[in-house]
Amino acid sequence: MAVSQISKFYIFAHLSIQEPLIKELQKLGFLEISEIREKDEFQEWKISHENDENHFLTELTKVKFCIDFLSDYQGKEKKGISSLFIPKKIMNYDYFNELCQKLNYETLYEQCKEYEHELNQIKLQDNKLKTIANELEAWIDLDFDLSKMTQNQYIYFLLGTIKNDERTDLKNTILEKVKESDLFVVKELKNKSRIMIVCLKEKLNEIKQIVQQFHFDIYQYSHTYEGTVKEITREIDNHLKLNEKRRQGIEKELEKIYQKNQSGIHTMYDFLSISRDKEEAKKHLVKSENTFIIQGWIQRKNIPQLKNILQAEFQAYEIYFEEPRKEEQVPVTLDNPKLVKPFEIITELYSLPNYNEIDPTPILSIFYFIFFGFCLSDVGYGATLAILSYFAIHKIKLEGGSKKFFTLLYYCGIAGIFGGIFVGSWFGDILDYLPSIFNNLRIFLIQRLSLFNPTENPIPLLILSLSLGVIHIYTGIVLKFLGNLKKGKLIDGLMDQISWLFLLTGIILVLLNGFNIAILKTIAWVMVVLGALTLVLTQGRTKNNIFLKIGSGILSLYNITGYLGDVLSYSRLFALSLTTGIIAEIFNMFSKMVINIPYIGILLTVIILLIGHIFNLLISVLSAFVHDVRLQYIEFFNKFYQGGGVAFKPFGMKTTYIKLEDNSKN
Amino acid sequence: MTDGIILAYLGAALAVGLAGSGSAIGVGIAGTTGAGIMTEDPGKFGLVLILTAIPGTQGFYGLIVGFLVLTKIGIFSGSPESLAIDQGLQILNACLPIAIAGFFSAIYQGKTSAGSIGLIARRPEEAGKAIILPAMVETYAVLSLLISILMLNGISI
Repeated sequence: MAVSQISKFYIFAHLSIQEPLIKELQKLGFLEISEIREKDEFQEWKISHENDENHFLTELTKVKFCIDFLSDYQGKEKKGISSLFIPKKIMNYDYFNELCQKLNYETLYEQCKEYEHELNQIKLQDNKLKTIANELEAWIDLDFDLSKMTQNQYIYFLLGTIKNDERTDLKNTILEKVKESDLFVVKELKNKSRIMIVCLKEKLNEIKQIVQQFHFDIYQYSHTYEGTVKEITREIDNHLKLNEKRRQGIEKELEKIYQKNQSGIHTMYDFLSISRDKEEAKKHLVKSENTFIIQGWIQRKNIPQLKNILQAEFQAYEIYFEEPRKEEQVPVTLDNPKLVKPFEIITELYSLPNYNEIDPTPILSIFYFIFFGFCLSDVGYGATLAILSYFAIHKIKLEGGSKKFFTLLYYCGIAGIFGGIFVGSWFGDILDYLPSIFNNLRIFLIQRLSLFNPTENPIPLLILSLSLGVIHIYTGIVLKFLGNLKKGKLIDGLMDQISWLFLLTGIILVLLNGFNIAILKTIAWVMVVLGALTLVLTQGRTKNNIFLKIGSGILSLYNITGYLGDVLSYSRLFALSLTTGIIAEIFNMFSKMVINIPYIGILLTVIILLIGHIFNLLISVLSAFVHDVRLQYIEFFNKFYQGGGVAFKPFGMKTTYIKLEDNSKN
Repeated sequence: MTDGIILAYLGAALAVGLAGSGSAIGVGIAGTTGAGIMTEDPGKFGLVLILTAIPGTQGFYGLIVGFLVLTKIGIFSGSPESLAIDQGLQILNACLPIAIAGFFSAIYQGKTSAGSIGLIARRPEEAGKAIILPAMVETYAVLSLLISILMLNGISI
């Protein structure tokens, strides 16, 4: 339980077995290989820089490109959420290795590159054609063959746009000043016109000088156009359609390629990732002429297995283990029983414990469960959450992290069921709407089973919430005390934690008036005075001035307000418990209001109930999670937990698409 | 209809209206940032959604208090109680904590959420801390909801 025990290992081996040994270690998957830092001890050894990591990285990029490129064309039906839950394909390890030796993805890569190039070309051409079409569209009414306009030896055709109020002016000026020229209106728009000015070629400069005095925008059309504007746009349209057909053809081809090669490139991708990881691990080796050293971390429970396997497979090696030294940063992994394991998510979300710290997960899991039940507190919602996550785990066959997450949700759902029974909330007050035959059931479920009715009398539930808070905080203080004990600081523990426990318990007893028992009242005051006195005398012990010592001792009593705030913070348990039920009641009532609408009443009722309760379920689970986590992190962890551990990252075969199985185990 | 009822209505209206407006503003602030982050990395949708939804809870707290007021004065049972002015004032006062604290806390929670969304954009591994910060603000909305409920519960009609 708790933080897993870790040892350091060194393997010395002959270079001839380097490759198979590293392969075997990767297959085992429970060692973390680390860099050798103690340069002094291994002075005559050289850090090896030879590895093929870059080669595999390049190859991996190629395969990744194929996968990304092709997955855009995998056919429509496979996209969407369901594709996220495709389980990994199971494959035998030896078969996997053999297969990947044979697989060839170079041609596929070239093919994909070519198709990508072609698709880009088509896109580029499309864009060009579309720009031309857009430009020419304005001149669609010009019924001249453009090529004849550009090729005419004597006459020049000038196209452009001008404001309507200047048009007649321009026409008159041209007619007056330049002989054998004219101005035609091609199309008149709201306040400007597209016009064509016709003149002799040698008079063009004169025309241009005149035009400069007006607001005239020249339209420079290309010399390559042939035919009238209408003909050109029709041609462009045809071309675009042809391109579209070509693209569709390519896409269909790619779909086929994807179907054919999908499993192959996925397998290859995993193979290359594994190989890359292996090469990366080689960076940490140091070598002499004939031998090499691997150093790293191993969970103590795995040592016998490692020894056995190495003994069975290799000969030219030596292995020894060593306890981590004090100043070393030991990687941390949590090792909890199955029931507690999912709650590691909550701890990890905050921070892993230090290697020398207590793992808070087992205790956290109890409180997390209770608090979540309190916040969700509805049998219907709890059951829905539990059933959905149960199906997610068993039907979709989740693995690793997501399986852990859904198991946590499953527990949370069960907690919600208990909480719901506790306060008599079944989808809010839906039992009240049942026909009267179910009266007995309702009375049993609500009046017999439930202990609280917060809407009628909120105080008991509120007091229970705060009491849970007190227990939670006390646990935190006790854990800190135990941590001090573990470090051998008994005196510090007594002064810093036990004194507070005395003071706080005393204050609570005084507030409760000693349950009206005379002797308890006296004891309470004794505890208060004793606790406070210890704190005043000890809390300033690090200061060296006598006044500072007493001063900070007295100041430390101010922390009482902190504890008061912490306890009050647990009132959120009560408030959240109430909100789930009341919002559910609101939706139930709405749905009842519409049931008498003719024809569609029942349908509306069902819709309101469905949407309302799904919505409430989501928001209740969200706030239950957020507030529960907050209580753990701020109120609980604050008292004792340091965190800051570095995760243990075993060197193994990390795959994305394939799940590898070892035949030697079967 | 008595004067007391009018005051009780005002209370319910303030609780739902103010807390709801605050939530709308808060969710708006967080949502804008979230949308910006998702243009870079659409895969963060889940976390962004959670952080955007957190400032929305104040609206519900307001709704709950409003609902409790309406139940208390018997709107749903069809025969509203006749309330004296002082009773109406009591109900109005009981609605004020969630109306005021709900409005302001939702806005500031929205800003905190937006900040947290920025945090997960750069450092996704810090998701736990990112969710805690807006929850710190939420505390005060929960406290005011608590007092609103307790005050309402103490009023005898």
